[in-house]
Parts: sequence; C-alpha cells; structure tokens
Amino acid sequence: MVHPLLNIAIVEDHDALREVMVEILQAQGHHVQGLDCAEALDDSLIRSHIDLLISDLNLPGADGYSLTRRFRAAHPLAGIIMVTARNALDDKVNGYQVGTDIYLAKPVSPDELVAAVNSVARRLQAHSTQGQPQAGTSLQFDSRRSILSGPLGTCTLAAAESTVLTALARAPGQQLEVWQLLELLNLDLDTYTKSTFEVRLARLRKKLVQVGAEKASLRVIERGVYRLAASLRVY
Amino acid sequence: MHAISPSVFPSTFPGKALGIVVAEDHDALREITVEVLRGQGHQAVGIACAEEIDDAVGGMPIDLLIADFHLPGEDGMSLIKRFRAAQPLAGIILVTASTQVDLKVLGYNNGVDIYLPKPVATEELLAAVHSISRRLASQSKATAAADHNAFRYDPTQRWVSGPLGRTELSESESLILASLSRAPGQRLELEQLQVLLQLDASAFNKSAFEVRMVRLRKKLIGVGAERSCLRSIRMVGYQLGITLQAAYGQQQRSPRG
Repeated sequence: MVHPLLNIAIVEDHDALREVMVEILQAQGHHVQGLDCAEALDDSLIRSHIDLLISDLNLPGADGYSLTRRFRAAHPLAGIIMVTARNALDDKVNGYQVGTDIYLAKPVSPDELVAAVNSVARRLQAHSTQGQPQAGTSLQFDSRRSILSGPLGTCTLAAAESTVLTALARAPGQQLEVWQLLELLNLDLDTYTKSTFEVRLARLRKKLVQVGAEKASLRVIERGVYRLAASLRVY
Repeated sequence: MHAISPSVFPSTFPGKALGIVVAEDHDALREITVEVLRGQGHQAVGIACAEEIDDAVGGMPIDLLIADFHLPGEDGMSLIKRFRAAQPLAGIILVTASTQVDLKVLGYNNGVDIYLPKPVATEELLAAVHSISRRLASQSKATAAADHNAFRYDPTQRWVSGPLGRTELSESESLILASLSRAPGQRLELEQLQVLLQLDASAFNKSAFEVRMVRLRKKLIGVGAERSCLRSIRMVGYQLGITLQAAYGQQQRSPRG
C-alpha cells in the first residue's frame, strides 16, 4: 500500500525513545522532527506545516493534554496520536476529548506505530482528494446532497437510487442479489415484480451513463444478481 | 463493556449526530452499545453478522462502522475492508478481545481509524465516537468552506444565505434547517420533525406541514439552491440537499452585496 508522506512532529521527553520513533518513521519516508517538550512545538510550527502530531502524555512543562488541545484548536484536520504509559480509562477519555485521533499504549511496537501513522496518512489523503477526479476512479457520490458525479457531469439521485448504489459500492465484489436490494428498500419480496424493479434500475443506469460511466456499469451478471462494475466512492 | 444505563449520559450531544452501524454477534453487548449510542442522539443500528450490512441497514447513511473482529461467517476485517473501499472518509472502529500486534496492524492497514481492545468501557467507546464525530464535522466544514457556493445560516439572527442572496427565516424554519443539517445524512423522519416543532401528533395536519416545507424550499431556491435542496423522501421524511454552514452573529460583519 502506498501512503502519502507526512510532516510529523514527535513530542517525547525520553531521548532514546524519541530517537527510535523518529528513525522508524523516517525510514518510511516521512519528514519527522523530534521535540523534547511541548514548548518546542510552537517554534517548530512557525517554520513548518505539521500533518501529524505524535505526543507523549507526560511531558516536562505543559502536559500532553494542553498541547493536544491547543494543537487541535489550530489544526482541526491534522492527525493526533497520543502515546502514553498511562492506560487508565480517564486518561484515554480525556485524550479523545481534547482532540486525539488515536491513542496508543506504551510500549508501542514499531509495526503498530507505522500502521497507525499510515491510517492517519490514508485519511488525510482521502480528504484532500475528495471531489477531485482520480485515476481509475470514475464516480463519486455525495450522499448528503445526493449528487452523483463522474467525468461527464453530475446528476441528482432519488433516495431509493442512492440506497441501491451505496449498498452495491460496499457489497462484496460490488454485487448484490435482487432480494437483498428489495429488502434494503423495504419492498415486499412477494408482491414486487422483477420487471418493475428492473425499470427502476434502468433509470439508475441511465443516470450512471449520463455522468460518464459505461453502460455495463450496472448489470445483471447472473440470474437475480446485480453488479456495479464502476468504481464508486461515497462521501 | 460495562452495562451503564444510557441515562447516565447527557443526551445533549455537542457534535453532529452520526449514522452508526454496530457489527457485534454478542446480542446483549450489541444491544447495550446501540442503546448507549442512541442515548447520545446518534442513529444506531445493530447487526449480528457482517452480511446484514447488505440488506438490513436500509437507506440509512453510515458515517461510522463499529465492528467486532470475530463475527460468524464473514469476519470483521473483511467487512471493514469493503466498507472502507466504498467510503474513504467514514469512521471505522475495530473492537476485539485480541491484543495481537499483527491484528492491529492489519486493521489499521485495512482502513481502521481507532482500535479498541475488549472489554471496552462505555466511556471509552463514547469518547472514541466523539473523536470521530469531531473529525467528520471538521472535514465537512472544510469542504463547505472550499465551496464558494456554500450556504450559510445564522440560527440566532435567523437568516439563510446562498449565491443569490439572503432571506429571513421564521423560528420554526430556522429550527428545521438547523436540525436537518445536524441529522445523519441530513434527513429526519416526519415524526422527528413533529417532535422538534412540538406539534401535537393527534392534531397533526400533513398537508399543512407540507405547505410549510414548500415555503421553506422556495426560500432556499430564492437564495440560489436547486430544487433538490429540500426533498421529501417517501415513507421516511425530509432530506436537506445543500451543505449549510452556521455563521453565528456575522450579520453585521458580512453584509451581502
């Protein structure tokens, strides 16, 4: 998996531990600066933009909570990982409340640290590329405004259409059986005829084609099984 | 998870209400989790196996998936993987009794945002959900801010503005807009709107209510929204089709020219 590279600040007063963490993440290609106290972050923020803050809870001077709270207020979208030897419930709850995204208990394994950082990187990338056309991804669906968009334009989907499309997008192999779709739409399996359902899906297919998908993007692959062949991201 | 009564927690949830799916095969645990989340104002649905997400969730928009790793049939990891592929920005919390590093690493790599070891204290789960809710709100705020056609409203001064101008709102209209914009998927059921507006259910006049919504839609269209800005969803209720940004007390400072 390829992850975007981040600007990371690690605030940890234990020298050896900080150096190891810096090294591990640098080896992944990230740009990392190690800082030994909360106050040092202020200076470093002036010089560079930070995508991810990794902070210890116990720090000399201002503690990890107040650091996190301040950083979160200024950077609502950045990632924050809190690393701490304290594993008490109150600490974790406080940590999340002041703006922590991920809470890691010490000792943190290098693999876990890297994976957590990658998770933040993935999310930051997903947010920054939202609404932009992506290679290999033809369609996006704005669920809040119910707007489907593709290379050829946009169109509005009816509530039932958005339900069908979203369900197909997250289904295994992007395929669902007719009874599953009927169930999703709260339609009676006994009385609802297949042909009426097909008319509905034909209308949805038309919209898909209208925004630039191929005609085969929504089709029956075998008796009673529908497949979405286009790649769709739901926001 | 401790069985804490939902009433312990204030129902005045500060952030946005989320649409949440809880995938957990332990019935009692799933039910209490769903109940606690609902007590916080979220719209939560429990599923006993991964496959139920395909047919049992209905049209509810999912902002957050909370999944146990061990599920009968398709496991939690596979569910997470396919959900993440479809919804890159939604929240995912993985809950598991295992503390194996390999599993955590696999989880994060497959799209997990937060990993919680079982047993999960209710407070910890709610704090984690709150953290994700905060992040989702920041994201949609940033997206709306980047959109210069965004709509703004001031719930205290009661106005809504869009690319074509600004219009006054009545108290109930302002309440409807504010509530819809906070609701999961920006949709509310008719009954929820009734309760919100303190309308007597027995004397409820559906067509009078529809007229009200038509009037509100007209106002939105007047400031530049499309017809789909306020949609009636058959058998459900209403959905707001624009992104609204709250602009408290900015009336004097930012008059529209």
